[in-house]
Amino acid sequence: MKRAGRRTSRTGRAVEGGDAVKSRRRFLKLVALTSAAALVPATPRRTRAATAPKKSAPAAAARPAALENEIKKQKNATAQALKAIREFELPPGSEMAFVFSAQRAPRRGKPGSSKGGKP
Amino acid sequence: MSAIDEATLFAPVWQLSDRIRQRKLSPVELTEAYLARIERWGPKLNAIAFATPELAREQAKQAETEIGRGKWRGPLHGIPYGAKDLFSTAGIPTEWGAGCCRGQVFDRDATVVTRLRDAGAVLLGKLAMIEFAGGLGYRKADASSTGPCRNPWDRTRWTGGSSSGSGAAVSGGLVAFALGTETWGSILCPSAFCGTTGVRPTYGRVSRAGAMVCSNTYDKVGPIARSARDCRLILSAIAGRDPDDPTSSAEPADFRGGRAIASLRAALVPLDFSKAREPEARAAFDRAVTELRGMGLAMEEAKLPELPTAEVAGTIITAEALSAFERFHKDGSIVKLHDPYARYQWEINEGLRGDDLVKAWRVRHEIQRRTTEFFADYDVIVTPNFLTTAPGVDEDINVALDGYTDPAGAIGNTCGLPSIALPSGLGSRGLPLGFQIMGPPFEEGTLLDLGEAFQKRTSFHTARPPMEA
Repeated sequence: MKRAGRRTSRTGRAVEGGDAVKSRRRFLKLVALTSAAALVPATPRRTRAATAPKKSAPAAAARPAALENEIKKQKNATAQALKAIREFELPPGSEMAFVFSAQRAPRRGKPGSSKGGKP
Repeated sequence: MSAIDEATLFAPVWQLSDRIRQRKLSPVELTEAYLARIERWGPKLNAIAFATPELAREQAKQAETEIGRGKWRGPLHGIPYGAKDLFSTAGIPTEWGAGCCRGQVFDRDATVVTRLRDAGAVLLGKLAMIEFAGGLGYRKADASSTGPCRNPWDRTRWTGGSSSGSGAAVSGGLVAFALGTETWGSILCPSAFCGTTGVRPTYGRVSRAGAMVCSNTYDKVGPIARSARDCRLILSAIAGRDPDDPTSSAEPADFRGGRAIASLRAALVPLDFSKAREPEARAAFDRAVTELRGMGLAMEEAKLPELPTAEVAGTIITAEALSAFERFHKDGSIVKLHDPYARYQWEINEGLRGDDLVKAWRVRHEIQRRTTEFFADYDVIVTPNFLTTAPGVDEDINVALDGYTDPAGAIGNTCGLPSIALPSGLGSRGLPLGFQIMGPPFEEGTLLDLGEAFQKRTSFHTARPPMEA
């Protein structure tokens, strides 16, 4: 179960929080840099609409009011959770909960090397 | 051999296993009896995604032949079970509960399915689940390609999710045990609402290879069964390092426990019962606590570390789920999901920035640190599982569970902690109530010891739903 009028867990358990600041441009730059393409919508959205001529009303405007309200509620719940995370103070440089580690590549010339044998 | 009566179908695995080993119970007859029950009750409960009668008969026959020849593979040999429909099974549909995955078939078995087959267990079918295990959100029980899963205790009630069919099938006597998964609550919730015993293992304890990814760093695979003793047998068969899952742990798959209960110290986290929708919730929890004290478990009230754990869990799970299900968003098939808002999750979460996600990962580290400190003072945490019984199948889950923030679930899943869900009686409408015991990583053995000791003193776990003949 998850997010509806409020942000919830897989089992519908509620999550608490406050407001959020949106930074769409920065976000898009970050996701591009980090290959987090999943977060980029497949349909054209505000960034493109801002520069394109207004041919028709944005898709969002065509949505029923009840749906729009629910999406707004869920956005607010997301913003509240993000606010709680942003406001939580951590010591500078504190670690993340996982550790990146470099992976040793086989040496050239050793069995299994993709670059062939020793000259 | 004797004819299979209904009581046998509700017997715990360890009892069935004893009878099978002694050749007093035929795996073939047991399998046929479960298949007949699946045919009869599966559609009424919406518990089964796909029955696999041919495979089950073949595996049961093989088990019977092997046992007849003196080759006993272990306590799951000849035991029929069901697997949540997110574990891949070669040549059998695996549809993840989602309309956009209709007809999806993989060419290999998930590691846990392979391990159970090697242990001689008999696969009866794939079990219903919430679409994408709830990774893109849902608010009603019908967010599943198989329809709302109905609770055997009252078919107007939901089973909980996302391992809905696993809870229903075990509770309703359609399988001897089931495999489920938990990202946040998906084993403990159906266990609580269906009156079953479930274990959410430590993250990495059980291989996720071949299981649908909802959230890479939160998904856990575990059993739902009729007793703690059963869960110990199942975990022993499925746990352990798997080269196909780099996050699987190399810790020995040893669930014997063995610590004296009188030497353990428990943190009692009673939660705010003023928010309980079920008037019997407090009494049921108090009853459980009294029994635990009677077992010699030392308990004192304690507060869990206060951190933005639910927010961290929600943010990381959401980001990982958006990535996991990206292709359905891109190809537009996401509109086939039943939850009307799932398709909008990419838009809804567009405010999530890269630095937010990194911050969430840093806070997760802090949560782990503080939780580790907490376990320096306590061996386990005892807390209610839910403050309500199963909601109606048509209820908005957010409304039905309003006010319950699940602090133990947030910490437990964020830190990858094991927990056992145990039944503790029935509520005012005759629906199951339960509680959980959570421990530090890799302490499943201790939790199972406590669960087994509790179930030796009580009979809550043996209660059967009043399904009409």
